[in-house]
Amino acid sequence: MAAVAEQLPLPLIRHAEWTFESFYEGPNRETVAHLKSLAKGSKTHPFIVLMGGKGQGKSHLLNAVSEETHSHQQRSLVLPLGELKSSGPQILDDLDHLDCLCLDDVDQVLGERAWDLALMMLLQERQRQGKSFLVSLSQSLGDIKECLPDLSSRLTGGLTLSLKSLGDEDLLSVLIDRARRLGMELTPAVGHYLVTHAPRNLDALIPLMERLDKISLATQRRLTIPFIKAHLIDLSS
Amino acid sequence: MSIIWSECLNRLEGELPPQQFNTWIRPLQPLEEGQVLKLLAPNKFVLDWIRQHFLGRIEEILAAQNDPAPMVMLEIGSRPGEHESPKSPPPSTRASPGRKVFPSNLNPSFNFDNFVEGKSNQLAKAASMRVAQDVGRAYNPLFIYGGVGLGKTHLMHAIGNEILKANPGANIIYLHSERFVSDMVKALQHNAINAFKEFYRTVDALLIDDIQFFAGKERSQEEFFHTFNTLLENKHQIVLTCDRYPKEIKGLEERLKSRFGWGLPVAVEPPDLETRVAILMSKAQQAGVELPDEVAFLMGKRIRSNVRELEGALRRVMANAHFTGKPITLDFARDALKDLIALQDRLVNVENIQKTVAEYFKIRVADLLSAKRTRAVTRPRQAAMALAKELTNHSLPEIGQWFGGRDHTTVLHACRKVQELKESDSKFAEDYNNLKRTLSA
Repeated sequence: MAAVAEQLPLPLIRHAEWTFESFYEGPNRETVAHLKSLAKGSKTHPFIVLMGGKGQGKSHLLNAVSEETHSHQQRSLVLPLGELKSSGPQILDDLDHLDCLCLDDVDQVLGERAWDLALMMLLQERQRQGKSFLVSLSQSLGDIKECLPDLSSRLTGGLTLSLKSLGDEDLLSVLIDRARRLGMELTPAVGHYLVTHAPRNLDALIPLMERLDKISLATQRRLTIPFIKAHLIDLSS
Repeated sequence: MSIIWSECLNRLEGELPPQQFNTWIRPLQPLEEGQVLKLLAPNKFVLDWIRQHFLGRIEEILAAQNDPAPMVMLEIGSRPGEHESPKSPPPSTRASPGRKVFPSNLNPSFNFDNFVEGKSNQLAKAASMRVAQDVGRAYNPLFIYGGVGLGKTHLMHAIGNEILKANPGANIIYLHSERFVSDMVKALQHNAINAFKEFYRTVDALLIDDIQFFAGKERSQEEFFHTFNTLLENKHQIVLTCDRYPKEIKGLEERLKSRFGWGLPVAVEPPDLETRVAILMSKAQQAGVELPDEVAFLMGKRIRSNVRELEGALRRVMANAHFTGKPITLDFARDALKDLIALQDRLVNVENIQKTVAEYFKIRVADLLSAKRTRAVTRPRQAAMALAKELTNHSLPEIGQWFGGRDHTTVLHACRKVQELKESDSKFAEDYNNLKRTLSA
C-alpha cells in the first residue's frame, strides 16, 4: 500500500475556555445556577461542596466560578489539590483573604492529618469571614474513612451539590458543541458512534475526539465512522 | 487594571491551559509604580511558583509589548485597602507597651440567641452564659466536651461575643489549638517567643478550640501549661473545647488533664429528635423559609449524626426549593435529600450495628445472634437491638430476624430495658451514647 503523505497540523487549536458559557448544563442546571450565584458573591450559600465523578466537569465549573468572580473585580484562585499534593498543605497558607477560593479534588488529600488540619483551619476562617469557598470531591464523605471527623463534619455543613451524569444524548450534544468551538466537523452519526464505542465520560471523549481530529488533519482524511473504527483501538489503549 | 498587565494577561490566557491560568496567573494583582510593575501574589506558594515557572515568560511578553520594558517585581499581598485580613497579628508583632485591643477572631454569627437549647446541651449553654456574665470567676476553666458538630464551637464564640458586648475593650482571643501550636513554632523560628508568651498570658479571655490536638505536642503543652497558670492566677477566663472528657485525652500530660478539670467540665450530647426538629425550625426561620412540621420531623428522624449535617441537609432543601420555586413538602424533601438518605441507610445497617457493638463490648458477633443469656452478652445484644430500632427503619420483626430469628416481642423488651438502663445506669448510658455517636458519625 502506498504510504499516505502526512501533513503536520499547525498548533492552532486554542485551549477550550472553562467558562459557564462553555459548560453543557444538561441535567445540572440547578447546580450551575447555585455556582453562578456564588461567583457573583451571593452570601446565601457561601460554602459549597461540589461532588461528581471523574469527567463530569468539576474542574471546568471551578474554573468557571473563578473566571466569573474575576469578572466582578473580585480576587479568586483555583488550586487543583490532586496535582499539588506533593507541595504540602502550606500551599493553603494565607488564603483566607481571597474573595473566592476554589479547591479542586480535595478528596485526593483528605485523610492525611496535616492536610485535614490545614483544610479545617482554612474552612473555619473563611466561614468566619463569610467568604466564598468552593471545594470539589469525587467521592462522598461517607466513603472517605480516614478523614478527620472535625473536618468531615464541617464539610457536611455546606451546601452539597452533586453533578448528575450526562446521558448519551447529552454527551453527543457536548461533543458536537465542542467540535464546533474547535473548528472541527463532527456529524451527529460520527458523534453517536464515538459516544457508543468509547468511554462515556467527557474526560475521555473530548481528548479522544481532539486526537482523532489531529490525525484526520495530518492524514487529510475526513472524520468518518470507518476512519474512527480504524484508529479507535490504538487511541483508546 | 494596569493596561500593560492586561495585555500581558490576554497573551498568557491564550497560551496556557485554563486550569494553569486560573490557578497561577489570574490571582496576581498588578501595581504600577513608574517603570516598575509589581505583581502581588496571594501567598508565598503562588509567588514561588510564578517565579519558578512563569516569570521568564511574563518578562518576555512585557518586553515585546513595551518599550522600555517595565521591571517586574513579585511580592505577596493585596492592593492597598483591599482584603485586609482581620486576623490577630503574628506574635512577633503583637507585643507593645500599653494596652492594645487585638482582633478576636470571633465569628459574630454565633451567639446565645441562635443556639437552640435541648436536654442534650442545656447544661453547657447555662454554664457558658454564666461564664460570659461573670468572666474569670464563675467556672474557670470552662471545659466543653462532646462529639463533632454538636455546638461546642458555637458556645465558645457566643461566650466571646457576649463578653465583648458587655466590654468592647476586652481582649478576647479565640483560636484553634493548631493555630496556637503554629503561632508558637513561628515565634520560636523568629526569636519572638517572649512576645508570644506575653501576648497569650495577658488576654482577658482565651478561648481554645479542639484542645485534643495538643496531644503528643510536648513543647506546646509546656507553653500552654504556663499560659494557663498565669491566666488562672490573674482570674482571666479560659474556655476550652475538646472531643472528650479531660482524663480521656491520650498523649496529654497528666498535670494538664488535671487542670482542665479544675473548673467545670460540661458535656454536649447529640441532640434528641425534638431538639433536632427545633434546630431545623429555627434555622429555617432565620433564613426566612417556612418549613412544615412534618418535613422537619422527617429530616430530624433521618439525619441524626450532628447539627452541621442537619444544617447541610436543610440548606439543600432550601436551595432546591428556591431554584425550582416549589413549596417544601414531604415528597419534595425526600427527593431533595435522596442521596443523603441513601448514604445514611448504607452506612447504618443492622450488620454494621452488630459489628460495632460486638467490637465495643469485646464479644463476637456470633454471640449476639446466639441463645446465650449471660449478662456479658445480653446487655450488648439489647443495646444492639435498641440501636437497630433507633438508627434504621427496619420493623421490630425484621430486627428480630437479624438477631438469630428472635420474636419481635424480644426486640420490644430490649428497647424498653435499654431505656430503663439509660436512666438508671450512667455507665450504660455513656456506652450507648458512644455507640450511637460512632454509628452516626
